Amino acid sequence: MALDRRDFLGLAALAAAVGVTPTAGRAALAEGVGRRRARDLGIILGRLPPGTLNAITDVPGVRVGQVTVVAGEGAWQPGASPVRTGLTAILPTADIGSTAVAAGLAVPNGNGELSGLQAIERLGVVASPILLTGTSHVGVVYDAVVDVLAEHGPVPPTPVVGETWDGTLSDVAGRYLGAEQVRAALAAAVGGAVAEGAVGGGTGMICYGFKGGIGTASRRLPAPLEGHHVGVLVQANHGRREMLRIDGVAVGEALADWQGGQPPAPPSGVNSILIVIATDVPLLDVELARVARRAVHGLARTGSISSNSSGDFALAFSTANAVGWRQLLGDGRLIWRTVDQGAIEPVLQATAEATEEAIINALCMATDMAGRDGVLVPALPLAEVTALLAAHGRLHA
Amino acid sequence: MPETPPLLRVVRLPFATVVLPPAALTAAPRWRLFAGLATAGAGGPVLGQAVLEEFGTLSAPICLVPRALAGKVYDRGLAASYTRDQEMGIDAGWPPLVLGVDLPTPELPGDWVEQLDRAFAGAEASLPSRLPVQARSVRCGAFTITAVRLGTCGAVATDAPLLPRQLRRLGAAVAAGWSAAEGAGMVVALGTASGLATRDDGGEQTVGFLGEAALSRLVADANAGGSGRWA
Repeated sequence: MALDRRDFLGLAALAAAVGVTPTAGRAALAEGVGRRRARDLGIILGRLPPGTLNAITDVPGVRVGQVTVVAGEGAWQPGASPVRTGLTAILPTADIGSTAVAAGLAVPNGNGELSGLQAIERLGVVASPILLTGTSHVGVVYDAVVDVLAEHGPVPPTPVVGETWDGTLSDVAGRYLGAEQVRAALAAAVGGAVAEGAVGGGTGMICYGFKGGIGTASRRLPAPLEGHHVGVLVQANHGRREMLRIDGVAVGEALADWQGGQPPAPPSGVNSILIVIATDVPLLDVELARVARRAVHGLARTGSISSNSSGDFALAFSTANAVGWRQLLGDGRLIWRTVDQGAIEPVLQATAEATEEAIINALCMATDMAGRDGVLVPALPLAEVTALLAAHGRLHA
Repeated sequence: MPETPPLLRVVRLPFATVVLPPAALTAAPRWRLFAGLATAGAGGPVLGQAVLEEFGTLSAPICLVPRALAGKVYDRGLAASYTRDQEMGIDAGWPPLVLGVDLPTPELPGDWVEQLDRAFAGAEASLPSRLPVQARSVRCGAFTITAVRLGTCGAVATDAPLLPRQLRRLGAAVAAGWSAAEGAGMVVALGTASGLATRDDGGEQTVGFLGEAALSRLVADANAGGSGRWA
C-alpha cells in the first residue's frame, strides 16, 4: 500500500478525534483486565504445537491491521449512536493488489456476504486485502478498497470484504467507516502479535452468547513440512450459548443462565463467522479449497452447527504461490508449486485445530461490552470456565 | 481447422466407450493428470465425481456408457483399480469416471468383463459398436484439443497447461456446445500437459498453467462453431 508513516499518523490523529482507534498488531494486544488467551489459561486444544506468536502472522509476510470505532451509549438513535464497530484487514502479501496468491474457499452456510467469491472461484486467487467488518459497512468498505486497488492498475482485482452482524450492540443505520478508516487499517497492518477480542471488525460481535470478536491462532507443521505454518484469524459472531463447547466440555450448557443468559438475538436468528486461513505451504487453489473445508471441523468442535441463519465462510490462501496480478490475467505461462497430497494431512489437522483455538481466543480475550439500548454482553467468565475445565480434567498446567 | 493427432485413446466396445490418456502418460502405476468436470444443464449420473472434484486429478479411465450400465461398468472398474493398486490410495487406483448417457441399453456380450478389463489396460482394440461415438482432434492456436462424445457426454483433452478449474471452463465451453440443442451435457476435461507425480517424501513439484487471457482464447476457440465443431 502507498501510505507512508506520516500519512498513517495523520489519519491516526483524525481517527482519534472521532473516537476511532487504529490498532497496529504490536501496539495493542487487547489485554483487557483479567483477559488471557486460551493457552495461557491452560486450555490446550489439539495436538500440534503453535507458532511463536500463535497467530495468523506466524505465516511469514502476512500482516494484520485493525480499526476500532466505539462512540456513544444508551438508547439507539438510528444513524447516530451508539457505535460499536470496526474493521480488520488481512494482507496476504506486502504488495497485495499487484500480487495475487492462490486461494480456496468453503462456505458451510452462505447466509452472509463475502465479496469476491466469483473471482476466487474462477481465478483461484485472492488479489485484494481481506477486509472483515460489520454487515452495514460492507458496501462502503468495498467501495473504499476499490479505490485503493485502482492505484495498482487499470484492471484492479475484486475486493474481498466479509461481514458479520453487529446490530445488537451497534447502530447499523449509520455509516462509521469509509475510505479514511480503510486506509488507516491497511497502513496499520503489520506482522507480529494480533489484537484479539472486541477490536477491529469484531468490535460489536457476539459469540455463543458471550462477547465475541477477533481471535487468532497458528500451528507449526511437522515433517515433511517442518518449517511451515498454518495460521487462522476469525471474526466470531456465531452460535447460541448452550452450544458452546471448549475442549469437549459443555461449557455453554453449564453457563446457560449465567448473567441472565443469551443476549438478545437478531431478528434473523443466530449470526455468523468469518475464517481466514493462511499458510506458507505451497498449495494450489483446489488444494486450498480442501484446507478451507477443514476449518468447519474446528468450528464444529466449539459447538457450532453452521446454523440456518448463519453466514459462515472459510477462505484459505497460500503465500507460497504468488503471481503478479497482471501476469495472471495475461498471455503467459505461469508457475506454481505444490506438495504431494499425501503430505497434506498435517495442514488439514492444523487448520482444524487453529480454527478451534482462534474462536476460543476470541472469547477469552473479549471484554464486557454495553451497546445499543444499554444491552450488556458479558465476556466469557474465565474463572468459571477454567473451573469447569479443571473439573473435567481438561485444564493443563 | 486441420485434424491433428488425438490426445486421447478411444476404445469402442459394444456396450461402452472407454477413454484413456496417451499411453506414455499412463505408464507409471500411479499416474495423475489434472482434470475438471463441467455440466451444462441438469447433467446425468456420474460415478467417481466426488474424488475428481475433491482432488482435481484423474487417475483412471473415463467411461461413457448408456446410463443403465453405469453401475456395472463402475463395479468392474473398481475391481480393476484394486488389482492395479491394492492400497487404493487417494492418488492412485481409484475407480473410473463413469458418465451415464441417455441411450438405449445394449445387450451385454458374454465376455463383457474381459473386454472391459482389456480396455482399462489400454490393450483392447475397438470392437464393432452401435453406440454413436464421435471423436475429433483439432488444433486451437498453439494447442491441441481432442474431444470424444457419446450423446451429450464426453471427454476432452488438451495439451495446454491448465489447472483443474481452468479445465472445467474448457469443458464447460465444449459441454455448452453439445447441449445447446439436445439438453444437458457433461464433459470431463483433462490436461495432458499437467500431471502430478506421486511422491512419498512430501517434496514440492512445479505446475505450469496459462494466464487468463490465453485461457480465454482457448476456451473461445473450443466453443466456436458450437456442437458442429466437434461433429
